Amino acid sequence: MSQKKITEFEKYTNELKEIVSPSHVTTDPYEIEAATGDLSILPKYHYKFKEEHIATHIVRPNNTDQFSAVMKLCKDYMLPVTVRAAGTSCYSASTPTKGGVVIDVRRMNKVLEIDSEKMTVKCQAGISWLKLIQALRAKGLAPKCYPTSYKSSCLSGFVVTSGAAGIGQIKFGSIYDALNAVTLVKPDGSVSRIQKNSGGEITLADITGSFGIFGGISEVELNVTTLKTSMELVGYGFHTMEQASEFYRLLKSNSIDKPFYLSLSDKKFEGFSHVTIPSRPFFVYAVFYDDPEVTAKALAFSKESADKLGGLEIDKWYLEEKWRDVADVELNLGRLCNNPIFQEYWISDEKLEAFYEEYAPKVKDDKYRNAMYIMGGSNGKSRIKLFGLSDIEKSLEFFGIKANLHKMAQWSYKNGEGIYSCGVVNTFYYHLFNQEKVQHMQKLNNSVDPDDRVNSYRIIKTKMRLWRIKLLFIVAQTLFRWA
Amino acid sequence: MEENKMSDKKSKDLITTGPPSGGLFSPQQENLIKPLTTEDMTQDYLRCIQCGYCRDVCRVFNVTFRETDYAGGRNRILKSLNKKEIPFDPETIQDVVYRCMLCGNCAEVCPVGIDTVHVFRNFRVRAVNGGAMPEKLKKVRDSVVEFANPFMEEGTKRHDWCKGNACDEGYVAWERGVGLYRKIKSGELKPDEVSPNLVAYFIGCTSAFRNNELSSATCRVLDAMGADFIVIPEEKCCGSVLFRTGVDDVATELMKYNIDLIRKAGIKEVIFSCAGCFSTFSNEYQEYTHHNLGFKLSHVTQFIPRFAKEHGLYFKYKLRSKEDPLKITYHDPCHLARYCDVYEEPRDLISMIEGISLSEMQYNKKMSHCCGAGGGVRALYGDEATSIADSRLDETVECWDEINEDRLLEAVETKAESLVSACVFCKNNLSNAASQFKPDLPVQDILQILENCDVKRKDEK
Ligand SMILES: Cc1cc2nc3c(=O)[nH]c(=O)nc-3n(C[C@H](O)[C@H](O)[C@H](O)COP(=O)(O)OP(=O)(O)OC[C@H]3O[C@@H](n4cnc5c(N)ncnc54)[C@H](O)[C@@H]3O)c2cc1C
Ligand code: SF4
Ligand code: SF4
Repeated sequence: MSQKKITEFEKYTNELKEIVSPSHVTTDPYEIEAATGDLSILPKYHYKFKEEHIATHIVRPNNTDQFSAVMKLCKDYMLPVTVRAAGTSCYSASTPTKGGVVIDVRRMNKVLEIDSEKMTVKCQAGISWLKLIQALRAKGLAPKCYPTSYKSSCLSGFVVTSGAAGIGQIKFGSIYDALNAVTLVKPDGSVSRIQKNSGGEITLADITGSFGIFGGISEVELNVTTLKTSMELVGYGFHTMEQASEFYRLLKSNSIDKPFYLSLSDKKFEGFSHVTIPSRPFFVYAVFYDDPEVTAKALAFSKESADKLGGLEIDKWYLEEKWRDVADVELNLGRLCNNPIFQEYWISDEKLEAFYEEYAPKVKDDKYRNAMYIMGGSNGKSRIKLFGLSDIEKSLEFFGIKANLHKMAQWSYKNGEGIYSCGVVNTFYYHLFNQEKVQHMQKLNNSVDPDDRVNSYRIIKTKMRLWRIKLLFIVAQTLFRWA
Repeated sequence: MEENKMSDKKSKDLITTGPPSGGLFSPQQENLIKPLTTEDMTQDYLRCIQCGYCRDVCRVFNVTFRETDYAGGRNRILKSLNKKEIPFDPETIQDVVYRCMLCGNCAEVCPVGIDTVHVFRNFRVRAVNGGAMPEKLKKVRDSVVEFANPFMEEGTKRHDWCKGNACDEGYVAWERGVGLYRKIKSGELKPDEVSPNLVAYFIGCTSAFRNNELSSATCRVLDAMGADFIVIPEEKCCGSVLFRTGVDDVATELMKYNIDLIRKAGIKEVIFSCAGCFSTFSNEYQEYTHHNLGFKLSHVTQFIPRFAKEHGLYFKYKLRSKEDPLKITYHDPCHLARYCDVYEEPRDLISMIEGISLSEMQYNKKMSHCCGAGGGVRALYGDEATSIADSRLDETVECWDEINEDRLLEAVETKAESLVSACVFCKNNLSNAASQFKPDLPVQDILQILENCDVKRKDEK
């Protein structure tokens, strides 16, 4: 760095410290290393040649005013910004792509107001779901929906990703449905409150799924629900994916009580993490959560439907443990490998079997340890997550698995479906297949962030080129097969 | 009929009337596959997937909000160091290494089953070998090397706490100890002739040199119960503070010395009032001897209720009555609880005291929050340690009178009148915070409660 640059660096570092206090601005390389990654490991290597995945500062504002002042200062110095919550959304969504400042929102973790009458909660954006769930519980309330990563993820991360699958979405709708308003700190530091139907340039619908490209969310207001009095757990094993999918759809669309949580997994998914597992190849699991008379009916309906489809009832203790550990189930696969690789697809419920038919032959020979887990989402869709248990050190296997997952992404788009989450890594899929969305978001972004400084390379801009990816995966798969 | 090949086991601690309350519970480990782990577990960080589940339970992170202060962040640094993607700078890396209480709460919730305490302890050994040792810890190390205690106190003064009428019961037990060693040395008594009922009390440096009230209380309680016990006259520091800070070589020498000292006197059971010493004997000492120490280890919270049951004793708290009991809540010390799996015995002991009633804090047993003192944090990061302790004290306001499966909905909230622990470090750190922020909340060791009890025979009731 030139002397001039060093002086400027020191100047804005000091100014940042003045805004948020010295203990919450850091340029410490270790802290930066720790705070710029997420679960995915590839982007670190992908951007390595330019070292742009590394921030220069981590800044932790405490409230909207500080957030806005930091944003304004970054604009004044033309510093790239990445807003970060818990970093669980994978695909490098909260990793810098142009260096610059990471604004970590987790200090903004307070509940500002709970209105038990109107059943709304207003809180700071960086509150963890766990804390929010507990604060609401004390008032007899509960969020309508949240991700299964609730043990660490934050409210704002869910608001700006799609928030369409997880716990509660089938029964109460997606996070968009639960949203009342957000406070947006725009890339120039100005603050605006966006409500449902507030009619501004950027709407709440644009915010959900925006991956922070329009700026930082500092506060969120949600509609919540009441704690219910009864919970029934349902689980059946099936011989075929057709039977399992049929049962899954019946539960999802039943008119008595929509499941609070619903999943369909293959035996490998259960077996890679549990000692004792259901005996059949496919396992459908549902949680009903409502008043006793409603859940009793849902239970009876489930039993009747499962009987018709030849389902085998799973032991209650297994179902109970699964509920208690619902946040952990995906991650438990990491007990057996260093790097569980995965991709999430967003597939219409009626195409589950078709997706599986395409997928099954690709893993038939079990060249790598694989597993499948489907989670119910809103609007007749489900999130299918495919896993490969691997190790980055075994690069042939690693990229071989990636190639398989990529093929399924292509299949999904060709069949009018898509992938669940964008992040940085998956942006090129949007560019290929979601042109309409990209153009709409680009237009909005041009007006709020013409310099493309904030959360760059999400949705509207990509570094990856399909031909490169294709080439990489063809080579990888050939070598993997050969090996 | 086709059946699932499943067992008929029952699950525990389930909340089935609401959204999952993860964070209050660790995962159901019983039915989870054992994690793929390296032999010495020190490479387990490679499996860390940066899920962040251990962030919320980490009290340090909750105070500093620094990503390097929780287990996943520290694991990320370890991975990057391992791949040589970042340099090891002995000066600036110290916070990453040492701002951790080694409390083990993160290991409890880790879905991939990383033994974080093992990993981080090994990180400290590597750091020390790489020259990354804070000045304060160097002083502690030097003191232990020179004086066999971390307080720069002359070793000859180790038992001054009981001398000159300070604690007659302790002094007599010390004399018995001196007598035993003399007889063994002279051949008057052979090690295998020593009574199996005789227990040896290992005082530990902190109670010997700083918190005499605990060594005295222990001796008074043991004496009142009629236990046959000695004080080990020539004990040296157990090495805990060195094991915790990564100076294993010096600690190993002390360990060998203490093991030999106890073995040669034919002692069959050693008891501890210090949770740190107890944990070091139960973990490092046991590991070193391949679980063949040759004598039994008990913390006083295990020994006292066992002895009381065997001898038909109970305790009557003199300052309150059965009708108007003192409402206490019990803070599980990490060294006793997560390190040694001692959860129920201290609660058993409390239940034996007439005039005391126990309410539980929301975070208890395996999910108990650390007091803030562990792993050298008290010594190196005093402000953070006090903030962590203060947040633990806050938890005493909302305790639960009864715990059952659906406890969060059905339990009755109460405010504890006193916070009780069974570890001198917890007591000190929590008392320090209480004196600053909650002067009305007494913090005590369980032994101080017992000291204020009459020991009664059940048939006297
Ligand atoms: C085990 C596991 C289970 C999961 N389960 C689900 C699930 O059920 N459903 C689901 O949808 N997802 C799930 N996810 C993905 C992820 O956890 C969620 O998307 C979660 O909501 C992300 O929250 P976060 O706090 O980690 O956000 P981050 O990952 O930190 O951020 C996500 C994106 O939001 C941006 N962002 C964060 N905060 C702000 C803000 N205040 N202002 C502007 N932009 C911001 C970031 O830049 C990033 O682009 C799961 C992940 C894991 C690891
Ligand atoms: S819970 Fe385990 S895997 Fe997750 S971040 Fe912490 S140490 Fe890593
Ligand atoms: S051992 Fe305790 S203090 Fe250290 S990282 Fe884990 S939870 Fe935090």
